[in-house]
Order: sequence, then C-alpha cells, then structure tokens
Amino acid sequence: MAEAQGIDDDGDTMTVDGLQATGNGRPLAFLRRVTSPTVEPAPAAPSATLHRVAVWMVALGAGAAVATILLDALGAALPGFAHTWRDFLGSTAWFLGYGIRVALAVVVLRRRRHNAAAAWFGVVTGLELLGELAGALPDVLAAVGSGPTGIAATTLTEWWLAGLTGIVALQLVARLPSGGIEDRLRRWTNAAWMLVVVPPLAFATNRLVPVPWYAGEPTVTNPLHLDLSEGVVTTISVAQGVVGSLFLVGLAIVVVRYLRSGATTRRQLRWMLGVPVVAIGITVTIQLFPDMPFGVLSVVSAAAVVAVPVFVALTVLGPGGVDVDQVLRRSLVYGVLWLAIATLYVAVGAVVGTAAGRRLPAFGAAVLTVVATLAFQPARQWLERLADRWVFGSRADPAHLVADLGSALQDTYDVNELLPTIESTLRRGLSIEWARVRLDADAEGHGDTDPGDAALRVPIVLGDERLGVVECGPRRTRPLGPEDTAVVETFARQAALAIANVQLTTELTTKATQLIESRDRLVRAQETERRRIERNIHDGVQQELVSLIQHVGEIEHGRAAGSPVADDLADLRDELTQLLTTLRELAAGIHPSLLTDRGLLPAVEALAARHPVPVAVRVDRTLRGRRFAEAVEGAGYFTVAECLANSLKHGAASRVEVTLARRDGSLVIEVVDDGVGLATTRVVGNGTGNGVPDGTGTGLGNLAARLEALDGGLTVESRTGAGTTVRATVSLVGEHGQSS
Amino acid sequence: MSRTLRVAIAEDHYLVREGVRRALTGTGELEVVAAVGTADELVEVVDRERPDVVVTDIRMPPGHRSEGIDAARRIRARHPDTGIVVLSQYADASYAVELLRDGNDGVAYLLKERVGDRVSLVQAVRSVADGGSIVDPTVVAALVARSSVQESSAIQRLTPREREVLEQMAQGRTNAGIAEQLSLSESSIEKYSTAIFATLGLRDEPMVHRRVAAVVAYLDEQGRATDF
Repeated sequence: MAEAQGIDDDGDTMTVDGLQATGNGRPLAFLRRVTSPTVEPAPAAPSATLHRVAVWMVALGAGAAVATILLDALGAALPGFAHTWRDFLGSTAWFLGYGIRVALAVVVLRRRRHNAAAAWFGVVTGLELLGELAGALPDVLAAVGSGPTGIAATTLTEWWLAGLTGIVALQLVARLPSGGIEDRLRRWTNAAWMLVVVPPLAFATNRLVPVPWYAGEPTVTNPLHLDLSEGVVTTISVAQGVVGSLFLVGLAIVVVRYLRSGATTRRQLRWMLGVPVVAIGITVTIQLFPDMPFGVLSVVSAAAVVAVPVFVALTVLGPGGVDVDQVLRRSLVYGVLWLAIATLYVAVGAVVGTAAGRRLPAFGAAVLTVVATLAFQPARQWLERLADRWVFGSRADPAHLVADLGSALQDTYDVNELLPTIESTLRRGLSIEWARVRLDADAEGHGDTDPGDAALRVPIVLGDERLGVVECGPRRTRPLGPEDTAVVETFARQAALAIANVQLTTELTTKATQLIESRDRLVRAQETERRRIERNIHDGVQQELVSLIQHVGEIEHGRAAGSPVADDLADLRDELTQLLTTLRELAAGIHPSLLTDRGLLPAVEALAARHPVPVAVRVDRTLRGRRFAEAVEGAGYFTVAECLANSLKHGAASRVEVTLARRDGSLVIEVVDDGVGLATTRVVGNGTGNGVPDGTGTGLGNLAARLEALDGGLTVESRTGAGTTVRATVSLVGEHGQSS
Repeated sequence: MSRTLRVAIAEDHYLVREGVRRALTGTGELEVVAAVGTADELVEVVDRERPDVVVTDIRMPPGHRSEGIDAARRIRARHPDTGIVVLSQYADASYAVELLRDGNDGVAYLLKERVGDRVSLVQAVRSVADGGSIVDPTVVAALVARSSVQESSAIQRLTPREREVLEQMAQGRTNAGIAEQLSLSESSIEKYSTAIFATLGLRDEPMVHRRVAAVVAYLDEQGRATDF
C-alpha cells in the first residue's frame, strides 16, 4: 500500500494521518477508527407497537416461567422421569432466577417507558423464558412417550428461540443505555434479522434430534430432516455457529461502545462490563470443577445467568436523574453486590472445602477451608471497596471537592444561588442525604427538607465572626468519619469567604441606592428652598422697597418742585427703583415666577429676550403650551440660563440657538453657541452627580446632578474655536403634562 | 377738571396697599372706595361699589400666581366700563400681552415702582377711565430692545425716529400725545404711524387701544420661539 487507508461503510477511502506506508497500517487505522469517540446517539423512545410487544413478551415469559416450574415439579412427581425431587430442589436457584428476571423486566419497562432499550430488554427476557420452557419440554415429552415429531418440534422451537434471543439481544445491546442507536450499528443489527432462518435450517440438517450436552447421545430421529448437499450443510453450520456466537458479538459491541463513549456514557455502560466478567468467571469455574454437586452448580450458574439481566437492567435504569428512590436502589444494588460477594466467598470456601475433603483427611480439609476463608478476607474487603466505589462514586477527595466548589462559586454573587450551590456540591461529594447551610443573618435556612437531626455540624467562621453553620445529614451506607469532617470544614472555610463577599456586595448595592435616593432628595429640597427664597424676596423685601419708594415720592411731592430737597429725593427714588430692579432680577435668577406661572417655554423666551446676544429659540410644535413637572421645568430653565451665562462669560459668541425637542419620551434641550469653546474637548456628566470634572467652573456640575436626579443627563461638546453645544435630557415618563 | 373718580385697590401687602392709597388720594382728585387683599374680595367690591377704575396687583393670595389678571377678566366681563390698572412686579411683557389680548380699552400695565411717581400714576388712572390703554415705558423699552435684537426682525428696518414713535405707540399714547412727547406735529406722527405699520406688515389700527394691543402683541411675538 502506498498510503495507510481505511475504507468506511460507504466505500469512501479515509486517509489516516501520520501513519507510515506499511502493511500494518490498515488494522491500526481500523482500530483507531473503531475506538475513537463519536457523538452519542440521542435517547430514543420505543414505538407504541414495540412497547406493546415487549409487554406481551414479558407476560408470556412470566407464564412460561411458571409453566417451567410446574413441569419440573410434575417431572419430579411423576414416575418414569430421570428427574427427582432433589433435582427439583437443586433447581430452586433457577426458579428464583426466573422470578428475578421477570421482576427486573417489569421494573425496567415501567420505569423506563421511554427508553427503547427497556422495551427490547422486555422482549429478550420474554424470549429467554420461553426458551427455558421450550428447553424443559423435550424431556417431558420423551418421558410421556411422545413421538419424535413432538420432541423434534419442541427442540426446534428451543433452538429457534435461542437463535432469536441472540438476534434480539443485539438490538438490545446496540441501544444501551438510552435507547438511541448509531446508524452504522443499526444497519448491522437490522441485517442480523436475516439470521432468523438459520436455526430451523440448521436443525433440519441433523438426522437425529440434537439433545443438550448433559443428556448423552441423541437417539430420536429427526422427522424434519432435510437432505442437503455438503456445501450447503457446511454453510448452514457456519451460519448457525454465527447465531450461536451472537452472545459474544453482543459482548463485543458493548465493549467497543464503552471504549468509544465519552465519560458520561461510559459511566452508564460500565455495568455491562460485568457481563464478560461473569461469563468468563462461570466458564472458568465449570471447567475447574467439573464434578461439583448439582445444587452448587445450579446456584452458581443461575447466579451467573441472572447476573446478566441484572447488569442490563442497571444500565437501562441507570441514568435517572435525581430519583427519590435512587438511594434505595443504590442500597439495593449495594446489598446485592455484597450478597454476591458473600456468596462467592462462601462458595469458594465450600468448593475448596468439598474439593479438599475428597482428597485430604477431614482435619486437613477443615484447616484448608479456614485458611482459604481467611485468605479471601482481604480480597473480599477489596471487592467491597470496589463495589462501594462503583456504586457510590469515588470517595470524597477533599481537594477535588473543594476545587469543584471553587469553580461553582466563581460567578455567584447572589446569596440565593450561593447557598444551594454549596449544599448540592456537598451532598453530591459526600453522598449524604441532605446538606443545609444556615446563615446567622437570616432566620430560616435554605436547602433541602431536613428529615432529621444533622449528623455533622460545622460552623462557618471568618476571622472572629461566625457567619453561619453547615449541617450535614447522615450517609446511609457508611457513617461520616473524621475525614468527612475535614472535608466539610474546608468547605466551610471556602464558603465563609464567598458568603462574606456576597454580603459585602449586597451591602454596597444597598448603600449605593440609598446614596442616590439621598442625592435626589437633596436636589428636590434645593428646588423647594429656592422657590421659598424667591417668594420671600418678592412678597417681602420687594414689596417693602416699593413702599419705601412710594414714601419717598410722597415726601418729594410735599416739597416744592425744583427745590434741592425735591431733586435729592427724586434721585433717591431713582436709586431705590434701581435697587428694586436689581432685586427683581436677583429673584428671577433664583427662581423666575414666569416659570411657575407660565411654564418652561415662556420663561426660556424671556431669558432669550433679555440676553444681549441674539438668541433664537426653536421649539417642537407638540411642546407648545405644555407644562411639565416643576422639577423638570426648573432643571430645564436653569440649564438654559446657565448656558447663556457661560456663553457670555467664556464664549464671546455672536449667536446662540436654543432648541426644545422631544425624543423617546424625554425632553431634550440643546444650547448651541458659536463662541470660542471650552478648553476641554469633551466633558460629560458622569452619572455620579459630580458632573463636570477638572473644575472648569461652569456651574454645569450641579445641573448635571439635578438632571440625573430626574433620570436625565447632561453632555457638553466643545472644541476650541468651534463653539459649544450643551445637551440636557430629562425623562418625561411618569409625569403629567398639562396644557396651559 | 372732571368729576372725582372712584377707585378700588387690590394689594395683599399692607404697606404697599396703604402706599398706593396715599399716592392716589394725595392729589385729591381720586376717591378710594375700597382697599382689599385678595382677588375674590376685589370682585365682590366691584360688584357692590361699582368703581370707575380698579388698581390691582397680579400676585395675590391664595395661589400667588396670576390672580389679579383673572380677576381683571372677570370684572371686565361683568362691568365692561370699569378701567383696570395693573401694578405689577414683573417687567415681563407676557403679562401685559395677556392683559391687552382681549383688545379692550381702559387697561393699563404699570410697574409697581410707579407708586413713587404719584403724578403719572393718577394720570394713568384718568387715562384708563377715559378708555386709553397704557403700557409702562420700561416694559415697552425692554420689549422693543428684545425684538430688535432678533435677526431678520422687521424692527431693524425702521429708522431711529420710527423706532421712537413705535415705542410711544406701544406705551399707549395717542397721536397727539406722541406729537407732544417728541415735539413733532400730529400729522408727522400720522405719517410715521402709517409707515411703521406698513414696514411691520400690520394692519393700521385707528383706535388707540387696539393699536397698543397690536403693537405690543407684535413686539412680543418677535421674541417668541419658532416652531419646528
């Protein structure tokens, strides 16, 4: 080969990078392709038909199991059978196995209604149990003296059911664990259906009805025998061999899928790895001890046979999210495992003892048994630890858990998220029933329901201050020990920091809100104060001045016109009048009554009128005659006033334009002049109420604060030589405008 | 001289009220029939006493906004012959415009400091009783200044003399009065008047009080905002 290439299913050539052009390239590439991770198929539900078929099959299987037990009992009761009661009792393990299998199928079908694998599991179980019945029949028929036809028929049925079971089992394993199946696999497993025809054909190639391996030589002629050519017979035998090894094919599929899967699916599939273990185990055991008593053989083989559906059921039931009875199930599983291990332990002891008993004197046998038991003890413990880890996940590794918590807490700023995160991480990590974090700051705790007293309480302390307490519920399988306490303490320390952080943030936010409200109140208070002052000046001082002027006038008129006193008085009156004008302007500068009486637009027009430099005022048609809230009009008016004043002070402008517009529910006031501009290029009210920085002394800072208090803002654009534009916005939302 | 005019005063500040009363009665030509402190009281008094002229402030209790002007309107509705003199703190012409808007005669808008000049105050009262309309010269001056500052203002096109005449017209003087004030002949004033109205694009108003209203309204309009 010039290049290492693989051919995929569609016949396209694939080039595998980096491989040398050698003859070894192809298998390696194939292996790589086969074991590289793929996208997992999505979970799939069974069709209604399939589900119904599965239910029927389970029902049939249950019936078949009962029938088998009955037949076996019958066989033991009736004379003329090789079967005895001892054999019947010996088979109780098998019968128990039937029961377990039916129970498993029912549980899986009910709990995983929407998992296609569950449906196929039901079908397989039914087929297997039917196969058991079919297997029991030939003996019975033979004993009652039924003709070869009947025996042949039942044996054929048994063969065919066995083959079918294997083919259907492919459908099952291909769909583990969630019911979805890869396309490529689907094609192969669907193609396997064609093998359905093989068992009958294979059966037909035998002249004598084949019998099970423990029944000695076949003796019954096969009425269904077909005489076929050698080549055909060979082909059929090969095919039957394939059918017979479908079990191994299924196993291979499982192993390959495990290797190809990502971590989550591997976790779900790992129970299936128990199947080859059991298969190998049983084979080895039977080979090692060919003449173990029937009862023991029955138990061991039944356990092995039941183990497979148990593993499959666990795989299918596995991904269940947070189930309420997951704990129960886990305990059950753990219990079963423990039982299996214990049984194995006892079996080993018994087997060794029995085997030794045949060859050694009783005393030696007893000693050997004891030694074997003791030797197996550490192995048993190791197995138990393995089972523990298998079922409950790896032991709480503090560093791992804390790192988990750390990354979970990284982005949590909300107390409502923080505590549940801590609680769930703790619960998961330690496999405890519940965890609750209670802060001293609030009265009630968060977290799960608490079904009882805490098994462990660890206070959360930061420096000298106690922030709260972490409470842990019990762990069903193993009490909480000192290392668990250490883990929780580490958690508590980390949690303390996070909690303190969150609390600080909350405090800051609250303070900031309070400050803003306080500032708004101040701004409004200023407004009110100003108006009060203007009123005082107008109604108080100005009036009194008027009265004074009048009094002086009176005295003036009392004197002869033209006399020096009269002239002086006239001058005095003029000065007083001037003072009155000044006072009037002062009052207007504080708060013009025109603004209150007539509104923003007339007041702005009056401002424009008084300004020495021409000011053009433009207003949005829809704003004419509209009144706004006092605070809004005040802020708008004084912005214009300030801008005009600045324009005089700094600007040396020849023309000013004031625009009042409405945009997006806000009042927008623009004052544009063509003066020299400010030194800074762009200066903006920065939202903190501090307004214009670097003390340009324009007085716009306070205005910015006023505007911000009204959900508005102030921007100033000014470039040297290009004039100044000041834009003020005030929100009009939520206030009433009245037409005057 | 004419009969003694009967005047009612409305002013909420005690000192100013008494000052106005003294200013008016000092010459002996006028009789103050009532001096009240609120707009409602003023209306009642006018109903009862039927004075010839009412002298009122704008800002009075309870709201301290424009109660005086509202009262003036109410009085005019009921007693169209009553003259109104408004003594105001505000130099802003908006109030004057509003007062004159109805185009009635016998209305005066004066600034409060006029109380120091009893002669012109009494004169104003008399004018108003005779149906004249007056706007305080200070207010007019500001008005004219403001309107001439606006670009593209037609006022810019008037000659200085015409500007003077315009001011006098805005103050409410008759042609005779203007002629006297500016030491010109009445016919010259008439000519100026026609020219001014032509330049400004206004209709020539023969009646003095209408002329005042027209001119003041025009001047005020100049200083207003433009739509967009």
